[in-house]
Amino acid sequence: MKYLLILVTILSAVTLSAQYVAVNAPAPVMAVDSNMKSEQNVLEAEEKMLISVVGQGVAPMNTSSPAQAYALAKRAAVADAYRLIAEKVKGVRIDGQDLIKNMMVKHSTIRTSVAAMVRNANIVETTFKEGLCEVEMEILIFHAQFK
Amino acid sequence: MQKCDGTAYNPIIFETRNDKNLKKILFNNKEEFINYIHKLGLIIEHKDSTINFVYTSTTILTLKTKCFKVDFNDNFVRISPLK
Repeated sequence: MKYLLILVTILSAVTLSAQYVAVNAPAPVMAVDSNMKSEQNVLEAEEKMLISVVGQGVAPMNTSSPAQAYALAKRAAVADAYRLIAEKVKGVRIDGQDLIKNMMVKHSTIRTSVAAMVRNANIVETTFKEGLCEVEMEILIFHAQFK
Repeated sequence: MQKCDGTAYNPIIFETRNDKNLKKILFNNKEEFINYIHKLGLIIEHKDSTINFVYTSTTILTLKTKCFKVDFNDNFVRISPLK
């Protein structure tokens, strides 16, 4: 009977210690989890992403030839495509102001701006139809560069 | 004009067609050259405004200041930026 009591005591002690381990187990698991997250962030930062935009440009009315109209429309479309890439990568600053008097809009102003440096963008396709030139442009950038 | 140092990289080659005038060669190949030089780095400044529902916009593209090495051969010219 005495031995049986001792055995029961030992068994309950083992069970308690097992519970203790089980309670304390999540702490190292959490540390591993945060390490995995930081590793994942590093991997994501090194991952490349493809940004694709379509810029549009219209030729001016007073051109000396259709060729000049095409060239000018294309130039405008390329500039628009670069601007769209800059807006996607860097973001846009927007300032707005509305003047309302007697519950009516008297004056409304919205200004947007972006400034960026773009390198290694590629023109994928150019189309010119009914005076509108469209340029599809792509850029491959690292995830870390995308803010 | 100042002297530039650096190593040449990523060259572009044009046919000279017996012409040693770089300006003329670049003009004859302007589409290709502009596309090439844009890839080296381009500063974009864009502003637009909508005032009383009338839209106006201005986009300024500025090339980065860069030094180039230019080598003339018999039939070709090799243009390489310096890093």
